[in-house]
Amino acid sequence: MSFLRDLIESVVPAAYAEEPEEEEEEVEESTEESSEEATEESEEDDDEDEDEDDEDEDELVDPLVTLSEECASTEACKPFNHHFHECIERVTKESEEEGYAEKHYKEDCVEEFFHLQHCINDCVAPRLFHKLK
Amino acid sequence: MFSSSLKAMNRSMIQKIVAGSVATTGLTASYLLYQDSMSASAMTAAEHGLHPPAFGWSHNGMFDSFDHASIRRGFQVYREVCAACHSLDRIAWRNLVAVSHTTSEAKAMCEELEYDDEPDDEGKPRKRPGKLADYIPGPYENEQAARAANQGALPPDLSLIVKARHGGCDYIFSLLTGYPEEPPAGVVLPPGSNYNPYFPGGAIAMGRVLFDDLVEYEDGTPATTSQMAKDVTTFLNWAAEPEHDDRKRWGLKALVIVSSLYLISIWVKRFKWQPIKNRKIRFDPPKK
Repeated sequence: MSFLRDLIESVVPAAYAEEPEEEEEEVEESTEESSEEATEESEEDDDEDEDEDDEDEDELVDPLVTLSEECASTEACKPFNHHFHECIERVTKESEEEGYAEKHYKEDCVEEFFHLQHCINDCVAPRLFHKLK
Repeated sequence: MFSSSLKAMNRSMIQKIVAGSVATTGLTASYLLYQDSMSASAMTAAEHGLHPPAFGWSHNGMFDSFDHASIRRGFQVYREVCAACHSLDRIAWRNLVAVSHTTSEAKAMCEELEYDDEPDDEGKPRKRPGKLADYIPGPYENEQAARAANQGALPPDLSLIVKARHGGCDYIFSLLTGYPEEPPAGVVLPPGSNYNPYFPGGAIAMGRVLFDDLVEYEDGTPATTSQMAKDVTTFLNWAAEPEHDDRKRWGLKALVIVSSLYLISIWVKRFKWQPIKNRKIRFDPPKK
């Protein structure tokens, strides 16, 4: 498939809608404005690293973190998130009961966690690398 | 004698015995299988590890080369972060030349280090500054030292790590970025280990090492965790497959040449066969 895509791309010039970058620019502009208002910190930062983007002035936000949070709250992942939190509640409650240490079988939430992560990953993976350099 | 006694027995009696034994065998087998399935814990999801998703690596495509700016950043991450524990035995400083660094940059880096030189006239060991041909030194003298410094865990050599793990780049990237804030409830970890869902079994000796702003990139790229993980994975993929770019270029050349030769061979075949295929054999019977 990628071979075919490569061939098609090499013949037909393809233009990509680069939404994320535009968003970033907007963010940059807005941070610039805000930095102009709140001058001191940003000026110091600019002195320190002149050629760095304005983006990472105060706090660096990892696109992976924002995307994962965004994806965890999508319709597709909501049920998994719900199950995961339910499991945590159940297991924590169970672990506080008496005789938990001697129990033959102790439940863990690994499977619920995996299902949630799978869902988040499927949503994050195609988008993440457009946001990275 | 046996058959004669069988014949003597009642036919319906035999049928009953057979049916009874089949039923008992079947029931016992299903009961045992059921009991076995109740305690089946041979391979859990945790033991497999979470499968990494497929990321859009810039070198994924059939004709795509490595992102060399990313390799350069990745080397910086390796040098400042990973090299504290992991060696890179198969990469020499000269390998970096024309891939991620210039000759003078690579020379400057290796000259900062000391390597064993030939002994002097009295047989005393000497040291010399590094040369381009020297290999990048590891953090530990040997495996025992590495284990002693890491609570018994051996940090693997990273030269071929991308080839050595299922999932390759996707796995390495997911492993580096996949440390959750806390393990899912109910998970019990052995002492000195951390939880990572991508690591088969979940308990990995390496803790999370990449944090935002850990390194300062010389080209000004924001050093987020995922950016550093992407760069260092690209670098490690280059380390495992230094021939990658050449290989793909040769592949393209081979495709072009072989397919044109194929077309020419078809044309030659048709050209040669044309008179034979088009000839008509006519038989004129002799007239009387």
